[in-house]
Amino acid sequence: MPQILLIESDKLIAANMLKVLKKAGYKVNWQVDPQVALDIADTELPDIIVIDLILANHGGIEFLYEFRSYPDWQDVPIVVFSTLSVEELKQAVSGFDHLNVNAYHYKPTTTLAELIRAIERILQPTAA
Amino acid sequence: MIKRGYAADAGKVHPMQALLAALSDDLALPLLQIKSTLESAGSSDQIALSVENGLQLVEAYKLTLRINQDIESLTLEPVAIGVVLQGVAHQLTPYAKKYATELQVDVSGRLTPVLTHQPSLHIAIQVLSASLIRAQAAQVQKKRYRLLLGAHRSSESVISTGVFSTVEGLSDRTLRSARSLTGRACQPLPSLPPGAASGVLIADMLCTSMWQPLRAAAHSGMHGLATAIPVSKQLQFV
Repeated sequence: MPQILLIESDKLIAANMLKVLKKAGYKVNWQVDPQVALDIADTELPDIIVIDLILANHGGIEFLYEFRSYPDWQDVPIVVFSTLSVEELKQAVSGFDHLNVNAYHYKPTTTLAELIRAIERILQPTAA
Repeated sequence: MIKRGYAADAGKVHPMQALLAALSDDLALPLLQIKSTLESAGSSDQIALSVENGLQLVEAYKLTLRINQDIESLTLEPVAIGVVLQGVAHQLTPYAKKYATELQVDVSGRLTPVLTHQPSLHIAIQVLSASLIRAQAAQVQKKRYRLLLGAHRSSESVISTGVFSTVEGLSDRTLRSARSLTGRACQPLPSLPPGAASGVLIADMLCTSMWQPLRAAAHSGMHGLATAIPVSKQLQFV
């Protein structure tokens, strides 16, 4: 069963995501704190990371910079599912392209079904 | 911490505008919660369509803010009007059905691509259409309604495009009055029901940012609001 590390600050949205991701056959570990998520990634070795960029305390971008700085996590797929639009992201952050993010989905215009399809495409590229 | 564009430039922004920007972000969250709850429950409830529409309106407002503060550049490019109108019609059809409204796209003749900012035009037509769908159903009680997304050549080098319906009380005069009353009156467009005016005003701002504000216009025997967009000169030489 593929394992997802979900980093999402809103409890209600996270609960809904957990429900549909588990139904789709994934094991999900949900964290609100990116710092804790880093420790979890170290011990549980997730197959993919789904993250919002607007989080409480630490930002998602900081998490991504640190995560990608470790050689053994260079190839772990990352899906951004965020309330921050690409235009806002480009304005706020430079060098995002170097973080090797596999998919970027804007929450207001992406359904959970579309998110699952994106995860499936990344984890099973030949089946998609 | 990531700062929103308008927060980072807060010094240049009117405090009320900054407050509204923050409000639009916060308002989007409960809508997102409802949206994801409905989806995770496998509900095809019509509430989902209303939530979707609310989110689109918030997004349109945020796009207007970004353009006004030069955070999002208005890159003008050749755009086929028919494709934009078809895209909006496709997107809004489930919402229109909720109001017993049939959406039609009417592009008169073969129109040369226009020079515009495609995302702004798409969102402007989208929020304007959604507002007029609600307004039309609120003004007169009928079994079925029709909303036309139309475009026609209004002069040699200008194409007029907009949304047309049977909604009463949309004239150049009422639009001028609404622009001056925005933010100062509860109902800047008195002929429209509550919740329908902001879509018209946001569409008006987006159209103004691109080329021209909305104006009262007619198309195929229906009346509505339209903007004028110049044709793409680049493609005229091809």
